[in-house]
This record gives sequence, C-alpha cells and structure tokens, in this order.
Amino acid sequence: MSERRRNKRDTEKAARELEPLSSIAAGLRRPVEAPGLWDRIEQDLGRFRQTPAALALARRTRIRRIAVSLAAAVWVAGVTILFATLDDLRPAQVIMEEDESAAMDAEQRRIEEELARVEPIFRKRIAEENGAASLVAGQVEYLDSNIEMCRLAHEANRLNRGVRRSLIDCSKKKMEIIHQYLARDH
Amino acid sequence: MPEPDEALIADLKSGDLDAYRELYERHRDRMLRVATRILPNRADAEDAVQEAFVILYSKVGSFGGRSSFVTWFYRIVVNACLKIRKKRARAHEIGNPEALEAAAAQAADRASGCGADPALDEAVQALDREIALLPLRQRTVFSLSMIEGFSLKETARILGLKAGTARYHLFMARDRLRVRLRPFLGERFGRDQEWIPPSTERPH
Repeated sequence: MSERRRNKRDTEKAARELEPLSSIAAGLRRPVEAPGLWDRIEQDLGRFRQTPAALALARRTRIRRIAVSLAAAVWVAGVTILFATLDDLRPAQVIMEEDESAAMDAEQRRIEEELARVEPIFRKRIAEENGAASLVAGQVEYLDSNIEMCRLAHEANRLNRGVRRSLIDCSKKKMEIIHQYLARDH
Repeated sequence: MPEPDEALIADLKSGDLDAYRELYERHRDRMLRVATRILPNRADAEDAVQEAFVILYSKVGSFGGRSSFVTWFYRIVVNACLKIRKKRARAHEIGNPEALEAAAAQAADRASGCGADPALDEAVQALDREIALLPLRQRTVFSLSMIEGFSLKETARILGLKAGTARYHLFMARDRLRVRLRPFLGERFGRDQEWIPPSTERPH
C-alpha cells in the first residue's frame, strides 16, 4: 500500500475515532479578545521603521531613563536608611542643649543666607547652559530633596541633633557645589 | 472572496501594511488559542503572539513559499511559546501541580457559558479543563488538529514532529480524554457503541 493511501486511510480512521470529541472540541473554537495587542505589535514594528537618527535618540532616551531610575532608587534607599536611623536615634538624640541648638541655628541661617544669594545666579547659569551642566544640576536637585526631607524631620523633632546635623551638612554641601560651579569660567 | 494568505504575503513583501493587518485579523484568534494551550498564563500567550507577528514582519522576506505559509507562521508562534515556557519552567512557574490546577481552572472559566446549549457548554467546559491537564505534546497536537482544524501532517510540521509521532500523541490524548469525558460522550452524545478502551500505557 502506498504511503499516500496509508496516510489517507489512517487519517479517515483517526477522524472516525475522534468524531465523538470533534463536536465538543468545535465549541472551543471561539474568538479570543485581546485588547491592545494590535497596538503593542504596531509599537514593536516601529523599531523596524526607525531611521538611524531616531534609533540613536531612542538609545539616548533609554540611557536617560536608566539614569533617572538609578537616581530615584538611590534616593529611596537614602530616605529609607535615614528614617530607619532616625527611628533608632530619636530617644537618645533629644538631648540638644539650648546653646548647641542656638549655635546650629546660627550656622544654618548663615548657610541659608549665602544660598539665597548664590542660588538664583546658579539657576540662571544652569538654564543658560541648556543641559550641559546636568551632572551639577542633578547633584543639587538630589541635595534639595534631602534638605526638604531633613526639614520635615526637623519640624517633627526640633531637638534631634542628627536631623539638624544632616540638614546643615546637606545645605553646606549644596552651597559648596554652587560655589565651585560659579567659580568656574563659563 | 477573501484573498489567500499567500497573496497577502506577496503584498506584505512589497510593503503593504494593510495586508499585514489583514493577516493579523485572520490569524489572531487561532494563534491566541494555540498559544494559550501551550502557555497557561494569558499575558505570556499574548506576548508570544505579539512576537510571532513581529517576526512575521521582519522575516517575511525570507519566506520563500517552499512550505505552506500557515505551517511556517504557526511554527513561529509555537517556538515563541516554547521559549517563554522554558523561561517560566526555569523559574518553576510551569509544570508544578498548582500551576496545572490553575491552568485547568482558568480553562474552565474560559469555556463557561459560551453557548445556548447548557449540556454542550458543560461538555465544552469539561473538555477545556481536561485538555489543560494533558501533557504538553498531547495538548498541542490535540489543539492544533482537533480544535484548530489542521491536518495531522500540518500539525506535525508546525510542531517539528514526524507525522507518526503526531498521530501517536493525538491518540494518546484521545484515549485520556475519552476516559475523563465518558459521561458527556456516552450519555449526552450517544457514542457508547464507539467506545474503544483507553490505552493501558500511562501517557507521558
């Protein structure tokens, strides 16, 4: 018997034997909803239609996104560690004497006055450089968020020495960066 | 009369995106059904189908037409599914008893209340559930040939099997399903006289 005939016979036999299941199996041949699938495919196809310039732009965007995600992760980790530390230290650190507190107030005030003087100049220069100094800007932005966080913690517990120290350190660091940046030739 | 797939492929090769969309509309449902048989997770199945359509777009130039378009294309989706499955299996997300049960329950949900005949609905639901519990080869062979209507030869080509092997898996699946679905096949569909004893060999 030729292979073709044997195959035909087997197929017919299989169909006969499977027939009881066929009518039920047909019930499973239904349309399937897949909202958004076509959009996702089209989006993927965009990769093949992009020009080299568009691909380079996409690569730069991707790198920028990764950098932002990393900065965010570092910030979150910093916040977590700081708050964990604050929780541990809170009872022990409510020990600032009035003199010490006054000295810290004075130091903070001095830094803030200096920042109020130099920061507008710094912001203006950064804007003029149109992204060329993004590393410095990013560093200052990061310190700003830390300062904000320390301020909130300080509001909650004004006698906490650690918080106060962090607030001063972050502000001081910000001031130094701005000074260094402004000292450069532009 | 609709254009055959091969004509759409020729159009797509010359950059006609309408032909591509037409192929998508034509094959989406069937591909998703095949994919969900291999991958219990619906999102994974959609990913596999998405990948298959992107491959179709990027590799259509290399399709020479020596084999049938349908077997070429469905082989792509099956391979995409197997790739995802392998990844999931490495993470132990597939193949454990809980995953199998979940797949079966998902299948039953999928099949529930889809027609006007409650008896048929019940049988369809039971079949869907039992297919989900079959071993992978049996499940895919059964789905491609019995649900999607591919011939055994096409099924074998899609899965990269010999025709005899595909037939073997189909009959193993049939034996197992007939045992599990006996109440539906016997009482509701009056097929007792066609009953063939199931294989004594445990399917693997």
